[in-house]
Amino acid sequence: MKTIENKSEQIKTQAKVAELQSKGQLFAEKVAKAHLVASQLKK
Amino acid sequence: MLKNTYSFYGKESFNKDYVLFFDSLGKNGIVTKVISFQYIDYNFYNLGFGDYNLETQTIDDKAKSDNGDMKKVLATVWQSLEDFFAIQPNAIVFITGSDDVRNRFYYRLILNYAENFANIYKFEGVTNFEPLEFEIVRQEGKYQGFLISKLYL
Repeated sequence: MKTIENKSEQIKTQAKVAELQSKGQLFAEKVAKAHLVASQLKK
Repeated sequence: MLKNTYSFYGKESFNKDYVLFFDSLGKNGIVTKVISFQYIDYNFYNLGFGDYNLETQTIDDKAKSDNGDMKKVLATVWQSLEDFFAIQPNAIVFITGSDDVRNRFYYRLILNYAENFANIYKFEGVTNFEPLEFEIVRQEGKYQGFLISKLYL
């Protein structure tokens, strides 16, 4: 098994994950529920 | 600071999101895990947690790595929450599992720490999403998700 060995690779991977998040492609189902909860908490 | 936890790979933030990684080391070798705190609205964040596949660069939040180190993984996820609240003390963190197994994982996480940290954090369990219904987490509860926030006494 591989692991993320160097710092630049780690940062690159983290950026990729953050990018996926920002496009709504990461944990999409959970995020939809989170929006549902957040919108009701604000009321 | 908990003692028996895995070390994180840095703690980078992107805009309002926070992403961190750690390696689970167990009977099946190394399993890279990713934890993300995704900004939703106001002080509200979603916690995402899953296995990171280095070959495909994808995240699987339904994976069952069965690496024999559940206790240490739970402690590490909890540590990430404590670290996150140190940066965002007013945050409300929402946690839900992708299935019943994952929800039980989070329920276990919360029950493990709710008692010891009840004077610092508020632990609420979501019993219904729409309309939203939640209660303070208790033993024998049945929850679809969780809300964790910091208490101010």
